[in-house]
Amino acid sequence: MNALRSVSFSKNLKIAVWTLALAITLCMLISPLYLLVKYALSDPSSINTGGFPIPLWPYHANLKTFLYLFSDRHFYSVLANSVIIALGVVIVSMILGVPAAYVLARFRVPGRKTIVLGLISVRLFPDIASIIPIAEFFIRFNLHNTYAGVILAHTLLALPYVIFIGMGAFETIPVDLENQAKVMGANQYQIFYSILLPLAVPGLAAAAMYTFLMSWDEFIFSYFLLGLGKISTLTLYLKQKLSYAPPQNLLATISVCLSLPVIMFSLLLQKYMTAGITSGSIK
Amino acid sequence: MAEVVLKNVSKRFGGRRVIGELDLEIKNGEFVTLLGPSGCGKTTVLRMIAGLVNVDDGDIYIGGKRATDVPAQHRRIAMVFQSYALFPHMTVCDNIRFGLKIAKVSREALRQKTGWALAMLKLDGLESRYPRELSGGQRQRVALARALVLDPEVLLLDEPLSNLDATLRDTAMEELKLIHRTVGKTIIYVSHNQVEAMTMSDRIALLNAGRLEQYDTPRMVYDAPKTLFSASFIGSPVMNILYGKIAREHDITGASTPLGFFTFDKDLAAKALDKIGRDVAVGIRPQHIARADRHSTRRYSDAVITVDVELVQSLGDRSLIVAKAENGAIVRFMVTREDDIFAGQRMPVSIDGRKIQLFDPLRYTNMFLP
Repeated sequence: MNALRSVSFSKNLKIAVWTLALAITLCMLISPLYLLVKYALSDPSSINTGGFPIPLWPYHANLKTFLYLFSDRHFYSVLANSVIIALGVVIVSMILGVPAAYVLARFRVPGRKTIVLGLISVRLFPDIASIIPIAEFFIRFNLHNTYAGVILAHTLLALPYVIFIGMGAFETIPVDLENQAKVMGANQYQIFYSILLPLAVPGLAAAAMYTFLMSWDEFIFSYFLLGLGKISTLTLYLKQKLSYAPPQNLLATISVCLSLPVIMFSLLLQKYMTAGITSGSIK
Repeated sequence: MAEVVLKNVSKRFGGRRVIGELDLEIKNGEFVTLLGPSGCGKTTVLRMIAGLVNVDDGDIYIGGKRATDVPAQHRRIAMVFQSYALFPHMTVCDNIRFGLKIAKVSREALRQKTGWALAMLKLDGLESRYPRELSGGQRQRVALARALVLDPEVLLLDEPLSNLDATLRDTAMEELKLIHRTVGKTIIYVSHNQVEAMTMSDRIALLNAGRLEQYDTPRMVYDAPKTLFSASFIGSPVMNILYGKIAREHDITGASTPLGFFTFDKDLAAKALDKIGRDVAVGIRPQHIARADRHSTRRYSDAVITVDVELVQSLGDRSLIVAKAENGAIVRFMVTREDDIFAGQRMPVSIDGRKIQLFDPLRYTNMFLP
């Protein structure tokens, strides 16, 4: 009886410690987000006194800052630019990355390992260091201050991820499915379009969403290639507003707009990932 | 429908030879099983016939035409993979239609052939299900329907029953045999299961380490094993193998083994005349050893010895006995349930000398088969 009680006690203690640790971590992750939303919802007349403690609730909560932001014509064009660029990056990097991922995953490409290693190490290279040569190169070809230029630059950043995630997606598809299609008379393109692509969709969708968000959040490449020229993105807009020392509410509101797609896509991704579409093909 | 011929086919994987100079002729409409232990190369042979693995040396002919360099897409064969490889994002119907759509058959033919395949494999009512919603047996039937609907020249089956449980496997074997009789296609079947091979095949190609050990009807493979490997692989329980010498005692020719002296009949004795004194591996099936008692008649060719029972394994109506002879040789044999034998018992057994197989222990081949 005693032994039993001590077992259940230590088990309960374990659960308690884990719960506490989880709660602390969650607090640390969520509190900045909470503050962001709090400032965004506070009345524009509220002033950050810099005092402590920070008030927990928004000051006269309303949507005035949002309304103010959305009344700005410029903000709309910025929003549109960000969407156009991000979608452009998704399209270009998928067109380039998916076939590359398929080939690397399925065929004996000479130097395959080196290529994959190269892809990863390119992404480990600091963006701020690689931007100087890239910017110079892009300027030489008159790609600065153009959609094409910034889309291409973001594609450079996204492509390794697309290829990497894509490879994973193709590798999980049993080779026997391809062999089966081949024996049934399908050629390489028919196999790719009617068997592999549909089965790789969950993985590729994840890569696409990731690519979209990467471009959406990207700052350094956009900053150097677009400068403060005609085309501006959300991140550049935020930076621009920052340098005028505007009220915190406005910055927070822009940031909330910047973060919304992240939350949206995370929820979407989760749904996709749990679908488990390949189950049942192979016993 | 077509015959399949392999001529001198070899295959290496990274320097290691997995198939060596294989010759195999499969007749039109024949059901042939490639049987062998795992790693013997049977699946590789099947994949070479399918065109999924290329041939290093030699040639493959399908329907009289050289197919060695024909890509898998154009070989007019169908294959069922061990995993079934059903397309998970397609319904049963779409799975079955996949090949027909690629072949661009007319809409009318599409409907008719799909209907035929669904009826043939008793899949009516499951058309719109996805593979994940099917049982193992249903998946296996979908895979078979998908192969048959293409009306292939040759049907290749790679252990299609190994994922099914025992009872399902028995009915699946019957169904498969019936289908073979109905459609009359050449079927090449890969298995490591001798029961499947014995029950379904017209001929068995027994493979070991990339070589053809024996290519014969199931009955011949069982009754007249050409090699020591055939003898020990086919038959359950495993054949007893004893090492001895061919000897001549008091003008009687026979095999002298740890289980006694087996007298040869006249024919065999004549053939063995030039082999006296040679080493021999004697194979005795457990079914050919029986309990001996005072009343049983003894033939001149039988050997009777006394053994100590070590283990009794019940197989239902019969039991497998593992026993030790006085000189330490282990012998396995079968008794009926009525015999009521227990471990530790000492009993006389008689071995049917007419049924023994004699192998050359160095070359592993049957001494008295051409």
